[in-house]
Amino acid sequence: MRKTDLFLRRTFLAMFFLLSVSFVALSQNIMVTGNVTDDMGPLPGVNIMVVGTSQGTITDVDGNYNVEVPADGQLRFNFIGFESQVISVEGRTEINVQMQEDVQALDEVVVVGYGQMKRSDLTGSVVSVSSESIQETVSTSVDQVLQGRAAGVQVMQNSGTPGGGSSIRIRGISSLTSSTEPIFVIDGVIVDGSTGSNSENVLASINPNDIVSMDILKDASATAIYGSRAANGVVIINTKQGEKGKSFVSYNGYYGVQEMATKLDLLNLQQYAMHKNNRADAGIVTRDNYFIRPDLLGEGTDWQDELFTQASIQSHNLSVSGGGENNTYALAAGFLDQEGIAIGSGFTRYNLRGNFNADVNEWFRAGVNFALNNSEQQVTVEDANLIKVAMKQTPNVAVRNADGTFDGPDTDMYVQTNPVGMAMLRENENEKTGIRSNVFGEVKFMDGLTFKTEFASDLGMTNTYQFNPSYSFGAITNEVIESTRTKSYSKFYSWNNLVSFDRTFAEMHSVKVMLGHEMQKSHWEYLSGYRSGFVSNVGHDLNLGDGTTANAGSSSGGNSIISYFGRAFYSFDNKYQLTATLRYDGSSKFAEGNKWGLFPSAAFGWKVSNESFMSGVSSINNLKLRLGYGAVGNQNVGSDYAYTNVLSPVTTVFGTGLISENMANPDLKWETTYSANIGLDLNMFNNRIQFIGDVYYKETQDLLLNVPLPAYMGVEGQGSVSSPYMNVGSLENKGIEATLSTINMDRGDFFWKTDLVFTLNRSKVLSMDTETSTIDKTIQEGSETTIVTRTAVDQPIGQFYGYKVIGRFNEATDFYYKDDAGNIKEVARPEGLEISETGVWIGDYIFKDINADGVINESDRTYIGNPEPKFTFGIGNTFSYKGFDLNIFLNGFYGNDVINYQKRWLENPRENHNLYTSALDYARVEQIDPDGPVDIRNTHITGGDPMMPRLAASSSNANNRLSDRFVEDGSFIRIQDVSLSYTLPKDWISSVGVDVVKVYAKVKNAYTFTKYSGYDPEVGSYNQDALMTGIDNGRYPSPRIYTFGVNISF
Amino acid sequence: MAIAGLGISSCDDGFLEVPSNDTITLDNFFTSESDLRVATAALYGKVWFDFNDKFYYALGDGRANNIFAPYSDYVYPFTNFTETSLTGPLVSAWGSFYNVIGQANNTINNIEANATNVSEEAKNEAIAEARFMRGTAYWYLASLWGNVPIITDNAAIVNNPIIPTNPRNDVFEFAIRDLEFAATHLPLEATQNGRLNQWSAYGMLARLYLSYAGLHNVDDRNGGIRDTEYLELARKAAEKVCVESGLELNESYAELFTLDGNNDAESLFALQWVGGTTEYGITNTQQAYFAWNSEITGDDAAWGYYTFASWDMIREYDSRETVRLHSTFATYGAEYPEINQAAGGYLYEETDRANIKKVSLVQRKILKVLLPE
Repeated sequence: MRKTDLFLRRTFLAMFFLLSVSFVALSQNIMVTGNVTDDMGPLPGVNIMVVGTSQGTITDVDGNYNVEVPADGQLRFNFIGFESQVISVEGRTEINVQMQEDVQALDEVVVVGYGQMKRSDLTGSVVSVSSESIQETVSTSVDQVLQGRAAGVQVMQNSGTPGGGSSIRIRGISSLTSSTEPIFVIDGVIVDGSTGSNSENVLASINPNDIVSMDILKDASATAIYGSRAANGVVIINTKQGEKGKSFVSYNGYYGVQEMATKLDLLNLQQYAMHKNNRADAGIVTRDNYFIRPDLLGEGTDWQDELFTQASIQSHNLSVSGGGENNTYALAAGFLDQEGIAIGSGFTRYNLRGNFNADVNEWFRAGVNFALNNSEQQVTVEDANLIKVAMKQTPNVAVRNADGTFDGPDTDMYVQTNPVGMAMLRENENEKTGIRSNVFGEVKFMDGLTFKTEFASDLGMTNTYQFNPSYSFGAITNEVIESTRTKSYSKFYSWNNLVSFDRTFAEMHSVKVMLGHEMQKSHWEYLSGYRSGFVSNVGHDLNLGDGTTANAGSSSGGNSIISYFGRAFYSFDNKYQLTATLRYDGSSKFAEGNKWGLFPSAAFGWKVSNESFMSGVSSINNLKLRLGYGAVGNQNVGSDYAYTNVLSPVTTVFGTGLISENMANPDLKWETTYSANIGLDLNMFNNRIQFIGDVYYKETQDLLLNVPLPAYMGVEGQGSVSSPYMNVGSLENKGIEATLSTINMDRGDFFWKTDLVFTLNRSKVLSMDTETSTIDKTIQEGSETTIVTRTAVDQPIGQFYGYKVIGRFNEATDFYYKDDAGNIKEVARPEGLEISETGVWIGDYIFKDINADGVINESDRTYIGNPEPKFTFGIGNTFSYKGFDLNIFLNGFYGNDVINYQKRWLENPRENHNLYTSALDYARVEQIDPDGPVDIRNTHITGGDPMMPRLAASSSNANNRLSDRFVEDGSFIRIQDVSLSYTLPKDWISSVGVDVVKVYAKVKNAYTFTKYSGYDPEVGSYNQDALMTGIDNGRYPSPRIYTFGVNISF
Repeated sequence: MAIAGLGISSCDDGFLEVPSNDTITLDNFFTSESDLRVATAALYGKVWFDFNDKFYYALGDGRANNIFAPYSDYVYPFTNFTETSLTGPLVSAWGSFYNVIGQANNTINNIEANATNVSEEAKNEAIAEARFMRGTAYWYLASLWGNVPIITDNAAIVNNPIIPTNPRNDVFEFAIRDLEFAATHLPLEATQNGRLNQWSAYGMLARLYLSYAGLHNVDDRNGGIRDTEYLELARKAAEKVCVESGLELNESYAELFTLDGNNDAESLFALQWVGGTTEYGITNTQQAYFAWNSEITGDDAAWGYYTFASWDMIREYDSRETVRLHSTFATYGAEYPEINQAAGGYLYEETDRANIKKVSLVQRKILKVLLPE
């Protein structure tokens, strides 16, 4: 009975709510008309809502409106860029309204180095990404949010593994040997973005849910305040703080599933068996007795299905924030658990955070901020290259035996291991714990003059656990059980002192001056231990290993920077603005005499729209030109002691010996990037259109290069010295970037906004130590080491390097050509190869003889592709209707090349491992007259793809050598994020004391439009190396993620 | 307050000094005799690694057709006369010799510049060790490549490293001078077993004089006739060792290749490798390249099944001679009680080959300068 009562009562309550709403709408309605203006005249498109209902109208082109409203009701007038007004009707039938421009909306506060500025006062190039953008995505780390959302910032994920890293390039690549990643200033703590690894990401420790703003400083006038660490740009990240007044408790959580976005077309067992028979016919392998009747075989093992699974993702975040009259606080806890779509990968993170700020008295303010993070990551798949193994493992190998143990191939020669077995048995994990904190005190001496001192620290601990068990996968066995444990510890602290002065004189002269001093110190330690000879696979700690195999080591390092800096801003009549910054940095990484570097910058802004001659142009409400020039540095020399002679220990029979480790260069100094920037800010139609455009030119001089020396300088092999770092060479980056935000529709309940971001950058090496110097990057596959990219003078950075395929020998006449004089000549063949079945034959590729010397050899390699996109873009559309919000975000790269590196083997019909099905389209080469001679004139091609090579007994022509055959167009447009949310109407939930209830569903990586044939055209840079960009060598594919979540706050 | 304009206080300089803990900078080293010994210790092994790893036997025994390795691209080009300037072992040996030279140069120059508080005698002794190594490396370079650059201070030419080669005779002369200095300043008895002494230098010097005697006028009109002056010097240097050193040859040749024979009296100079470690670059890898199966080495590193005696080599052995053959090449039925002792010794049963036995016993491979017999 009680149950029924409750039910009835609730139903009644709900009915009452519904009725009461309609009562309001129906009772005593009157028609109100009026005209809406601003100080320029009539205002069209103003949104007028009857308060408490979803009914309303908008003004017409003359600013007129009429609306039906209860006589005792209220009307809300809303228009972007203006303060909204609520006016009680009180029985009137005509209400005219003058809207006031919302200065605040235009003047969002932008965080700049060591302070804040109003956007309208900015003279440098700064772009902001809001916390709303974070909410639109399923992002486990903030670099994913930046993707396509900030002009001038190109972000690519280097691996799809959970917790994996990205490459972030702000305005191109500014260095060839040292880091090209920006620095992140997270609540005042400076964090270097470089990890040099695919699976590691410094931003993975931060919970995106905690972030309130991200501001990206791009040009020298904005970044120079960070001096010697700023050459790659600065990303300032601030986390949420409490607000005075109301307290909030909020929960945001989601659950989701992840899956592979694409699958490669690989051979099934039947296809593999038939092809193996063909390979046996060609004399490459011996015939397999299991494959006598391929038609009787089944599908076999699909290794992609075996390694990749559907995986879950979940995140829960709870926060409490608020403040009293004199203080504010915020507390937050977060949890993320992301399984990998490949077995043997995953990421779990806990975050705890708290801050407290207090106005101690009239003149003193202090605050503290603590953030703790702990994460665990499984990286077996990434570290053991298991994606590559799964692509190559053959369908005739089973994953498991009948008894459940792992199976494997029946020979150990030229086969792959069992990727699933490896992923599940091998331990390869890391655990990281970090504490980021800062405290500050601020004294206000008088109005506009303050002194602030801030101490920030960042402590990090990383443990890694690797255990290689004994196993037998078919014929592949491992008997050596090994375990490695490492511990590293890092400490960074900085202390800065700032004096700020902010005053406006005679209402026309606005002056802001900041002077500062900062000390930064970082220190790291590393300790590792190894043992083998474990008796079983059960216990993994070193104690269980054989003590006589123990191997231990430790290392450490550190560096420090002292800085003096200042910034002066002057604005005359809010029309002409000048910002000058200066930073003077001393670094421990350089020798006496080169320790100190000066980094100046200046920028000028002209607010054209505030000129009197613009007063008649009502459509433009903000027009500003910006001009800036400055210098910033890069002190990331590969070694902390490159400037001095360092001796390193060597184990000898006589005890520890010492040999020189490096060739010192006491003249070493900063890499310096000079940059010029011209920008335009334009806001039109009361900010319905907002445009920010920038054109820049950057030149990096005194490039830090690890100068290659001839071997007779003692720089190659065991016991050699590392060649010196020198300041030689220069490179340039130039580009255009634009941000356009438009409000396309703001009518009644319907709101539609578009954000467009465009980035274009061109990089080029201007000079190196010699005219002909090159920096080559190689990939090792088995015993083959191949140059994949080359960086050279007058060329873009990190271009692909290899042979050019200009055709295929299809008939006898293809082997000869007539030169200009009419002489018959032989088409160039690889050095030392004759025209023969075991040499070059019909069905082999013709390579371009670049140096025209008649033979194909290493000198015929050339540039075969450029990984730098012609441009990148992001397009976001937000639609709102009543409580519904739909956001669709597209991210695109255009004109970049990608090497599908594994295609060299996966499409080579000769290979023993599994292949792309396209490999079956190899050129079918047959004799024209079966009884005739073995001669090219008696040979023709009867089938197969016109650009696939033959299936030859010998590989002498090396058709799969690295050539433009494997370079593909990496352009793509990706539906990166789709998010649909519904915010429950306030009056439904306010009765239970809840402010916001929002439910949402999101899809990440929904669909990718691309011509690329691998898993994912977004390849990134191998181990963050800018010179190894765009090389897909079995990259962990980014998952497609579907999530459902709820956001509640009260 | 910390803001004092842009003046740099001495406090800043202190903050900007970050001492290294995992390496040693020059400023705080070379202060004692033991520091000098630490500096020269590394010249006996690691710097020679790439020379010893493949080149030493690939060129020596491979070119001589002593060994045959049809599947090893680091041996057969030498046997087949098909090597090019890019053949692996040639590239790595060239690098290794110049690593020896570079590190010896650094050691010499660092001692001269920084070891101000150490006695002249000790300094000269350490420099003599370094010059011995450098001279030996230059001797190899002159013998094998002919004209090569002579470098004595790598740091001085780092900014302009493109330098001309020196004539071969100059390189020989330079090497001889290094060894002559070593013979003057090395101690009569080494401080540690395995380190150089005066007799090492005289032994090596005899070798240098001898080869120079035949090579220094090879391009002359009278080329090819041995220079009697250098022959006499070679004889004198050898005599010094034979008569004055008090050292003696082993009873049995095979002893040289046993564990007990390591650094014995017959061995004047041997590269010093570290045993019982997996650290790359400080061990003798020849054992792994020669061992024909894991029973020999006790681990997976046994890559020598297809590296064996050439037929020409086996034919050279006198059929009555057993000691030398037995301890150099394993032939069918040969028994080695010292190998795989846990299983009671080893019986070689391959019928179609004779694998290389020579170094399989010793962890530390020895580069011998044998006394002139």
